[in-house]
Amino acid sequence: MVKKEKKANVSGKPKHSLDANRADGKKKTTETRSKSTVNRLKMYKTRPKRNAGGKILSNEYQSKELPNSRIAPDRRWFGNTRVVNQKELEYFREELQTKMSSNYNVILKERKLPMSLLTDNKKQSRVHLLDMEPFQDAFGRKTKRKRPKLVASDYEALVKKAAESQDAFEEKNGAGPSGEGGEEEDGFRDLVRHTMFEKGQSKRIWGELYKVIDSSDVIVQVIDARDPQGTRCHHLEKTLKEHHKHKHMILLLNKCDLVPAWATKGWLRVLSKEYPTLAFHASVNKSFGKGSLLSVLRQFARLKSDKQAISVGFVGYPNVGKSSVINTLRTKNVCKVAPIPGETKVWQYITLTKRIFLIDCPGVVYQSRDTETDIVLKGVVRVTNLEDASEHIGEVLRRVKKEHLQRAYKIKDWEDDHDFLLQLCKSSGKLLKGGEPDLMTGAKMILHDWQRGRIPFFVPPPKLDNVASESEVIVPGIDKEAIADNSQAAAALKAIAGIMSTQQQKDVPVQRDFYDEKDLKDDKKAKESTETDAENGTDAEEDEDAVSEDGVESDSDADEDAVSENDEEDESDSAE
Amino acid sequence: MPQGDYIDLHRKRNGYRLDHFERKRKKEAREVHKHSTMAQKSLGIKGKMIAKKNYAEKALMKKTLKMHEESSSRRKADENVQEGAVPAYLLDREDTTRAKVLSNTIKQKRKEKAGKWEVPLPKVRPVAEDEMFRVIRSGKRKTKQWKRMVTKATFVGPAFTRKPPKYERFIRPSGLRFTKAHVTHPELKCTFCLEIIGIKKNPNGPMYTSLGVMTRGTIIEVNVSELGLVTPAGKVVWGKYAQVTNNPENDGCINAVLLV
Repeated sequence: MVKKEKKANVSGKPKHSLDANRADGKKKTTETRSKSTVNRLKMYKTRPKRNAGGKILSNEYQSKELPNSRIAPDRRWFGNTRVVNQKELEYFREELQTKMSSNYNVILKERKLPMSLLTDNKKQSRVHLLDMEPFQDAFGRKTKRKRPKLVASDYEALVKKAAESQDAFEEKNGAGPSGEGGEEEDGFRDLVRHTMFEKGQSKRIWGELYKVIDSSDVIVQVIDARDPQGTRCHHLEKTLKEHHKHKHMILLLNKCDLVPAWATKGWLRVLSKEYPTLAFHASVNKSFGKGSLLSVLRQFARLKSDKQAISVGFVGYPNVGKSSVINTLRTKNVCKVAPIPGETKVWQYITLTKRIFLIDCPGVVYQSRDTETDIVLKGVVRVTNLEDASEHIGEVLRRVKKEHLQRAYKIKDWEDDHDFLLQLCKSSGKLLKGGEPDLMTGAKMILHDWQRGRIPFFVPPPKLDNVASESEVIVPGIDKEAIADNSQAAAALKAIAGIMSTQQQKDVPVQRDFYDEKDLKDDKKAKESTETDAENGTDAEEDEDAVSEDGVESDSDADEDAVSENDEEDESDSAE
Repeated sequence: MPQGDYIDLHRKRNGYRLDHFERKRKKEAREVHKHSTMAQKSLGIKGKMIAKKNYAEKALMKKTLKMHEESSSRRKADENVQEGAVPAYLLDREDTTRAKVLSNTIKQKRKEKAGKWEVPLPKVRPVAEDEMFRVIRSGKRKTKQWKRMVTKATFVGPAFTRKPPKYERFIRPSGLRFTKAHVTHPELKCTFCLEIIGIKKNPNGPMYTSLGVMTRGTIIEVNVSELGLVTPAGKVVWGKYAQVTNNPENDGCINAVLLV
């Protein structure tokens, strides 16, 4: 008996949540749900069938029935499946050498090409046997009897060689005999590092990272504009190049409003030689680079037009603003954000358009030779958890210019970091019983300001040797042949390169309160110093700059005080 | 003496009834119809037994007829041979036709052909769905049970990207993905580590083939450009089939035999 199928609902009004007449999405349109959508929603309600006692009777894709597992004899199993002609092979090899040299070209269907035949395998090393032992020495009438080649002829020579190897090894690994002697004499060892300095390196975090990489077509690595090279994940880039060649990587220079415009442009120029790079300022209301990033993502979706949708993963160091970038793209708060590292704990999937999904990832850190101070100043560790925050202040004083600290904390002069902390605690009222200054609280205040961008600092880009090349807009990977090509992939890549060059010509907004006009014009002085190539001249110029700045500041103290008071009031209002 | 013998004795002494032979002939003529009526009207186990007996009789009759037909192919040749056409020492031999020889040749070729195109493992242990998939609970309260994780070794292409979580039903763990296989050439007796191009056929079903699952007996396509094979026309061969011979999910590697 065939079970009667229920009649379709023809009245138009939905009767239940899975009805096909129910509108798709939140929009009240006349379009009804497609058949695939209805089937997918039914799939979500799949449950195992159970009897009265609770035992599972049947479940979808959990059947115990054994399939027929016989393979029929067929002569096609024993033939050749993929054959390539010699002429086609030469053509592929030439085209591959042309295309793979540029960063902006990708192979869409690598599976249909004999890649292993095109590339030469250089891993196999040749054994130069005939060079060491010629044929005539081993065979023939002129045979020479060979003594076996030993490392050393006798025991003393072997001992000497072993000692030399040990010395070379110690020198190579940086543990000299004096160091060893010193360590042994002192009886000290390095203190075991606190586990908080291994943030972003746990197995759980890396599991989340690999999940994001696995689910992404395009990976956007978000780096901090104040320290671009320090917040890059080189291990991740290496992994993508070796094992995931079909995925694309973009570098996103976030927080570009905290550094001067010339520094941002310099870093864009440097980083664009490796990967497509965009500058970004993550703010829901006053963002920069949002249009460029959206255009680039749309071009990638167009590049992958054979797929229904693409996923974009946002990866990077903790506290570089990955979730803020996603909130900016969505123009609302879809991810939880906070000015402290480690707010995002699991991966999150966000819908941007019908064809573009965004994936948020917790911050990952690869193990490197960073010191604890480097880790703290990159913003990996939460400042409130530090046991001794004052030991990192010396590095802060070294990295930030003196006038910035003077303006931020209104401290005229100091001898060292300890003296600076003393004065700060006194001026801000962070005192313990008996009027003793609370150095821990003062140091944490400074580190908080550092992480949240209130103390201006940046790592300048490396200077270019050729001054003339600065005038040109450098967008690598544009081939004239590729431009002439009419295929859709080449058009998409050309559009991406155009977006890169357009953004490089734009003016980057910077917060005016942070830097003086002379700092903003530092690029010109850098050019002049490069042209002269005189170190003494540079030092003299720097001294003169300091003197003149001091003079200017001494003249306009009252104005600056008024401006800073207004800023403080604004900050307090925004905090409320 | 039995009763039949008294009847025979009486017929020998006094003769048959006058209409005996006519009645016997008519009874034999009606026997066919009686037999057919009985076969059609019998029910239950009786009908089954009658049908079985009828089938056996019919098959036996067909075999007998076929046997006679076959034996006719080996009858003597009745052609008249002219004087002197056959040598003297062959006159005693009788000529037969060659039909049987041809029949034997065809049967042998068919048998050889069937065995030639068989793969090294024509039949393997079947894998049920509950062994292949594991239920994954998802959602905030872990009540949704529509996701399945594949517990066997899989192969995904080089351009593979996972689907969004709300569309992805079958999850293939990255720890169980393989890109290379240890392929043994059966004639050269040497083993190479070759890249896998794709999954051609999984013996447990087409769904596993589309998912890229590799179990024992799976036919995979490997990149044989390292072997340096060339066709007679001068083209380079870079794709061939191989069959998986081990259990990859237990061993952690894929061993296969090249199909040549």
